[in-house]
Amino acid sequence: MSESIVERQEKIREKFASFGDPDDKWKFLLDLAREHKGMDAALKAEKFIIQGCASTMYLVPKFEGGKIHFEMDVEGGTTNPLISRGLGALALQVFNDMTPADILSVDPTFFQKIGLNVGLSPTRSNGFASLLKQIYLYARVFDALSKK
Amino acid sequence: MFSFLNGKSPFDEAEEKLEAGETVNGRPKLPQAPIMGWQDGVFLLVLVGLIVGGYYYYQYAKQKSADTFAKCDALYVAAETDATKYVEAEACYNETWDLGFVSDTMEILRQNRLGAIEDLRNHQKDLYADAMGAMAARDSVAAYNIVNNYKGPMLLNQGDRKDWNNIVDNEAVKACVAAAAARADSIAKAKAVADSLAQVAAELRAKAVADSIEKANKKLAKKKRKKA
Repeated sequence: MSESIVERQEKIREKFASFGDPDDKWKFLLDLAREHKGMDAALKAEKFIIQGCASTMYLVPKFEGGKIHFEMDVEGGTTNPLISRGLGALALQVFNDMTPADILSVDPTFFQKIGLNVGLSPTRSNGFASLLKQIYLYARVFDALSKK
Repeated sequence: MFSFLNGKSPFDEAEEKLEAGETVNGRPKLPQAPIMGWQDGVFLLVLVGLIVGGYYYYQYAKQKSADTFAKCDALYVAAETDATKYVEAEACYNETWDLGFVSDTMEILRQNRLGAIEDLRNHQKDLYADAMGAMAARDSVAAYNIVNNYKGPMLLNQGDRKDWNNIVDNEAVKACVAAAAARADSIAKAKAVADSLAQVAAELRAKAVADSIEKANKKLAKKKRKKA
């Protein structure tokens, strides 16, 4: 049986609670970024760019079998935006392959409550908020379409 | 690695010798084969060279990273008191993308500091947008004040930087600002005069009221005395 969205959140909450050193959070995000597989270049269309991010972040949704699958990638030109990619990967750990109703049931302040925003630069915080907003928007759209 | 250069194993040779009757203490005489051929020696040398070279290259890459990051860190720390150094610090950290070795601690520092510089840039971009908006609304004084009050580093791109500098360097804008300052000054002076006149008037009014009260009191006292 696959993990529920609540269980996923709980796992992440526990992970964040276990961080003793402030660097632990960054290391965790770096690891997530390094483990995260990018996406097919053909999918990287302008319409999938998340507005409000410092780096170019793509989020491509696919609605199949009642669940939304997201592909995410971040490009930073000459730089390697690992923190942004890590943040994107973290969001997908919660929301990927979930039903629109599951996604919409998540408290939008969840990541704030576990301390993700602490020490995060305003630009990245805003970018992450834009990513969440986009995920909720896709969930709302697919939710409406599936009820038609 | 052992090789059988003659195409036979030492055991095959021993068997042949045993058949031929060559024995030592009843056992077949073992062949005097070399431990390894010259090709194996060369291979071994290359292998050792690669391992040693790799180790030294790793140490060199590590040292180079440590030196480069130390330089960038110094620039970033200096930028906290001298904002112009942020540009140098950013360029320095951007050069580190080509380094062969970057530890997690270095990576965290690089990501966070470049992020902080990006925040500063975004703040200046917001101010730039406000200033350009003010210019578009023909409020060059407001635009000038936005640009002139900014004390942070110059992090705009070439095109935006040109517009930004044009606002502070433009003679017409300067004239407007001077005229506005003069206007503000004369308004302030007029206000000061008006304030002082108002104050004098208020004082006179207060004095008149006090005088009339005094007069009334005196009258009252006189009446009381008469009655008495």
